[in-house]
Amino acid sequence: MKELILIISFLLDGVISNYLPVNGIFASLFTLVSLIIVYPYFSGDKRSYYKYAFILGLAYDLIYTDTMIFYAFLFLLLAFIITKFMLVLNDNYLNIVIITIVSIVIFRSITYVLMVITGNVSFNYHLWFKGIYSSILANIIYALILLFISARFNIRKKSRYLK
Amino acid sequence: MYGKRKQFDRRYLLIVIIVVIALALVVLAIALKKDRNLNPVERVIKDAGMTVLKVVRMPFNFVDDKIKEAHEKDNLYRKYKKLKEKSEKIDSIISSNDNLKSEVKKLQDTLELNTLLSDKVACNATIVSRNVGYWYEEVTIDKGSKDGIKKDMAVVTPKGLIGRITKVSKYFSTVKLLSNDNMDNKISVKIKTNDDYVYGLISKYDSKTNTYTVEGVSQSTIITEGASVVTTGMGTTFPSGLLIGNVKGTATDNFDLSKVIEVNAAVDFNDLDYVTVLKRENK
Repeated sequence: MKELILIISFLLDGVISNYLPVNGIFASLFTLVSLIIVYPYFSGDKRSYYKYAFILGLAYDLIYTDTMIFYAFLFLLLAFIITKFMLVLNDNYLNIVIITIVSIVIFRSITYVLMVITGNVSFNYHLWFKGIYSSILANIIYALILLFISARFNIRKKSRYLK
Repeated sequence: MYGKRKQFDRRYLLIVIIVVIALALVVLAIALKKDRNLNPVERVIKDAGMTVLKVVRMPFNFVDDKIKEAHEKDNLYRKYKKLKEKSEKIDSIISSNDNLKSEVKKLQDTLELNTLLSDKVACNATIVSRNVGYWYEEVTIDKGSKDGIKKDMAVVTPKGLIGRITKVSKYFSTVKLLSNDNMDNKISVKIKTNDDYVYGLISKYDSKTNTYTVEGVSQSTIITEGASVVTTGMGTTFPSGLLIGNVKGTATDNFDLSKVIEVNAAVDFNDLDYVTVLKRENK
């Protein structure tokens, strides 16, 4: 099930991008969202969770962004952050929204700062904030839908959602 | 003695950390470089992944096409009238174009010119994914080195120029769009005035208003609103005569030395589906 969610979200990221405006107010980050949602499926097995995150990041690198290992390590870092969050926060709808927002802010900021450091883009506050807020809304909606579906089907091992 | 050793260790650690950071930055710079050539493993994985994506996209595309078709069926009669008017003119344009072509050929022969800046060969492609990495302003198209696509070729839509090819695998390639707010390679353009062209450089793009800024135009020239802006073909990337947009307004720069021109982009970057890759013809 977790593989299915990850793969579908990964492909959906590429498909949906074709129907969203390039400079619009929505930007998809479904791969990252799916990584947050599938965490309970691993039932605490952090090692395999990190492995999945790394492979997912590597696929993101090679297929979408043509960067070699950049996103692989970034996803690994975010997986680490997500596991830390999940220890503290009880996983209900609100907390998933909070984790999604924090992850997106970290993800976009790190990529932007590194793009600036390596001289690919020039620094601009406006662009940075736009990158963050344009990602948040669409991805929260996707996170809630995904959470709702997985809770409805009641297949997750630790079905603590919707209680 | 113990304290000395500890100090040494700390210095050693500092050096290691600095070296690691430096190495990480080097790796990052290589990984994030825009014009990097993809290595064979990357190429194969990209081709495989994009092929899967293309298949997954098919049903979505089908629905999208149907919706667009329904929209296009609106106001058919008005559209037909417009097209009819245009098609009546087209015969005379074709004949004059043929005439001009043969004249150019003759002149080329007499001058023994091998290449013209406007020579180009076309190849059509469909967009498979758009701007997934967000900061990159890139799209992926479904033509690659197998179809003769190479780095730095110009990519256009029927409306005008959209970008250039940056990375190529066997069946797919990546296009860097002109719509990035921070443009690092400036594009040489010319603007039509009454009977001549003036030259300038595109320095930036504004995504809010969908306009480019052209700089370096002499203060004394008179530029009318709506004048067309096209590429010059100078430099190595773009062939000449590709439409960029139309003049929206003019202003003077901070030092009162040259004109700054706002240009409405001819292309709507939010609505790209089918594109054409142009290759400069080298004989």
